[in-house]
Amino acid sequence: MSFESSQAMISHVEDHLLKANSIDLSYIEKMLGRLNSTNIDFGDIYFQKRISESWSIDDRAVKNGSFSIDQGFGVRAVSGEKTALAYSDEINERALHQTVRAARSVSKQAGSGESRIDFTRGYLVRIKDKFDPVGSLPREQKVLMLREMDTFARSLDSRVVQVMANLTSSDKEFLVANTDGTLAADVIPGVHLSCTVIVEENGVRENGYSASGKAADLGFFQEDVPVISMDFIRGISPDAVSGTMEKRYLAIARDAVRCALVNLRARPAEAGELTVILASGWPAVLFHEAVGHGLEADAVRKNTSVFSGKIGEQVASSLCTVIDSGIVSNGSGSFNVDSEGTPAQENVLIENGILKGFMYDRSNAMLMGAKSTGNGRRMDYDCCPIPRMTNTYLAPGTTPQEDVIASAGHGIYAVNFQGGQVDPSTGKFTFSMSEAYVIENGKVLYPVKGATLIGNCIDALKQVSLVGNNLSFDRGCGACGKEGQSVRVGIGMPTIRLDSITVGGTKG
Amino acid sequence: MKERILAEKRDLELVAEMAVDFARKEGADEAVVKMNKSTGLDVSCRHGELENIDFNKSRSLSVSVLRNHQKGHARTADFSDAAIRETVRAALSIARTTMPDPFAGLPASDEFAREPEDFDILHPEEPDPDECLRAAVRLEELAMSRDPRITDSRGAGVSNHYGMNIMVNSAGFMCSEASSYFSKSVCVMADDSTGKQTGGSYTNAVDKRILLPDEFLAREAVREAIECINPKKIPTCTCPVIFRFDCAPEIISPAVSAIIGSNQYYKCSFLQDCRGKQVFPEWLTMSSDPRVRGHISAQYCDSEGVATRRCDLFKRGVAVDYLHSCVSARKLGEKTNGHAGGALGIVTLLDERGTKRSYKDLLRAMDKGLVVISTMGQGINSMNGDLSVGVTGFWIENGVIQYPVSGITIAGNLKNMYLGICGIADDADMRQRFRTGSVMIDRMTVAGGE
Repeated sequence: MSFESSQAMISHVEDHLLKANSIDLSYIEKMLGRLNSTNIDFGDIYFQKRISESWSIDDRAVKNGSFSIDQGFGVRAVSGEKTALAYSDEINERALHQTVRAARSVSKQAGSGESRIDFTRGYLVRIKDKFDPVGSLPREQKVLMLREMDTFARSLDSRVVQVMANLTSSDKEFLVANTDGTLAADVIPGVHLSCTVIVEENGVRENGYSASGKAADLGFFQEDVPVISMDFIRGISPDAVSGTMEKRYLAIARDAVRCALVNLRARPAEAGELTVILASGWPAVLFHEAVGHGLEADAVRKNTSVFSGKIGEQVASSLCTVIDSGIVSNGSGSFNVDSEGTPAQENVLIENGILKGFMYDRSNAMLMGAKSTGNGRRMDYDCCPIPRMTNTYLAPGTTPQEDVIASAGHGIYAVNFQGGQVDPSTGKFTFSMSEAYVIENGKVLYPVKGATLIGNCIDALKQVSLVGNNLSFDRGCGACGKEGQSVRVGIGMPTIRLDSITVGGTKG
Repeated sequence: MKERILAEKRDLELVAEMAVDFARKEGADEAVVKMNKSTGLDVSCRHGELENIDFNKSRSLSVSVLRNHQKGHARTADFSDAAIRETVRAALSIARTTMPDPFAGLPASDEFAREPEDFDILHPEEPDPDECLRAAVRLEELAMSRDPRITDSRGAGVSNHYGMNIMVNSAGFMCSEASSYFSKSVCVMADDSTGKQTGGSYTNAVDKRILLPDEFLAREAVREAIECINPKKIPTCTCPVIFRFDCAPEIISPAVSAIIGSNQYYKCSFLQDCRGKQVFPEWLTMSSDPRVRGHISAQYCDSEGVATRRCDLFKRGVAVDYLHSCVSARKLGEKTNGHAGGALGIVTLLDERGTKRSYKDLLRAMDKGLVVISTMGQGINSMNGDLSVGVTGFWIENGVIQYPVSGITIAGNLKNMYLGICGIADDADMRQRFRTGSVMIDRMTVAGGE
């Protein structure tokens, strides 16, 4: 099934969120009118329902399963730089009335009293497919999938001593109505499968992790993907070794075993200033953290970003074009409308090294004399929308990836990061590499462990000296946390070369 | 107000009991129902004006059932009778599909905490948005007026919350607690050649009257913002490192996770099979106390209902025991020691030699090396203890601070670092649950610039 229009999308969500709780759109209109009767710039009411189910295996048995259902609404009133938020986890007329009264407290002056709100419902629905992630497989099949992953991982290598895997499916629907007449809704399905494997050899234990996800249903994990070998290195080895295929859920288990075995043979990393080659795909987390967060409008407006006041300036090597786009096909951070009802769009942040634009939600856009760029997102009804990234990526260049890798005389080839942190006000960042290799004379040699990248984002952006032609995205499990709110995001990047960056390691 | 909250808690206890009864009636062999509810107000200001006002109200009910050794779990935020029944049925339905877990189940009847204890953690006050705003503005003004190098504010915030937790199980055990929570924070910025340096401070307590004074918060925020102005890099080297009181817990707390029973069972602890072995120097003892009166962390039973107890985690550097829940204990053929949920309460470090050393004494003892005041990145591998993180701090020579440093990383292995601890100071941060003063490690690898 699919949604043909925004009207169809709104009706679908309206049935589940409003009509099911005996609330009529005309009552929402009345409440927005009441919100508007104080002197506010705008206000909105956001309804949300989320269902999720998860199953997990450890010690060879699927012993844990859980189901949860959450719904509620949040009322927000914005007056200049002031915001009030009140919410309720009961959806009914009485709760709406009370919650609107609390949110009105942001402004004590009487306002226009405008109670007539005409909803406009037209927006382009790009993501049309309708999924049922939770119900797309019988429960017995979900359990079987996890058990097969366990058996399969153990069969791949005798050093595997523990397999833990988790399968989650969720379905989120929301509807938002604004005092300016915006009425919008969207549905966000999600499936996620992760696997952790522990291996042991001569008393030394290491773990390996792999995961994948998509805004779709569980059929995603049943798809066939190429089989990789245990010495597969992303960007070096061919994708399909023998041309054979296997189900994606087994491939995730295989990849976790491979990562664990890589860690088992990894040597301590050398410390110092080195050339670093970042593989395509997930290492784009560096751009997400070090560049993306500083280009979110709240940080810029409050002057807590190193990019504040730098529009039009050269902030990166001329090879860098950075884009945030909520409309990337199959992107983890893609949607039809953001949490404020603004349609998703493509925003060029940095073009050929020159800073072009920021990411706005409604409130920051209003304060900065700009328009929302469709980046106003909230985790749940009990959180305020804030400017957030969607799918952030570095546009591809022209150099073949093998040439980028071969260009490094002595350095590190970073394939995967396990996490990173950045201080947007100074641009300082730190990333821990979970899969990285030593490069000598352009050749990728052996894996290293315990390596950390540290630097300043403006310096690092200027160190980009080669950009590959091989843009690829993450595997659909990126979540970004900010101010206690976690939202799904996508990241992407081709293989790139950073001339010199500080690497921390354990080798003396 | 206190009476009203306690009455509300009694109502929820009834709801939880009814949910347990319903689960039994629907076929559960065992059932646990947990409910929590929290209500509060968060107010923040920036540049003297209201910025955000959040009226919080959150609640949840979770049901765990066991039938034929099969487990099921479900959760809802809807407390209506119909929704609770649906949630119980959802949990039972899950339990039809899961595989049997021979270790699951409630504690034995003699293991439950016998006497509820009142730790005096409920001191609610009616939240007043205007009063909260005035308090936030006052704090921000004070922090902004202390030092000319402070150029901007990131705002100040004041919170006033209360909440309750209830657990009822089918063995007839119930524990319920209501508590209040107040906090204040402020964050200011100073300019330097690298951009902006941020400094913040906070205080929290169950009783508004024991929050730290604004004067202290303003002083700390300003000190943090200006102490690292114009940092330098240092060359790559090996040297002693002091983790100052504000980040010492980051390197000490992994030791506690490492002795949690389930981590030992899954063999994913860097201190695998460490019971009875020397982990820290023999002059160091680490203890936990979950029963500190008037502290937010105080609780008389763990998350399974077993009585909590004050205990040594590492006695004279030796790991005393694993921290067990019923489930992790059964897996290892042992008995629970009331640690479902990890090391509970307040964790402290004690120098058994009785030597009292200040932070300055510790700097003098180090003579030359690095002081770390903040770390960046998730660079600790809990499986093997490898640590590699970005740090900010000071370079020390002749026992005194020479200049701030930043843009460097330190690396080492926690096992070696623990044995290499050569001094602790008496400057533990009483706001943290991990109360460890500044800790000196004999040597670590520092990666800097040229």
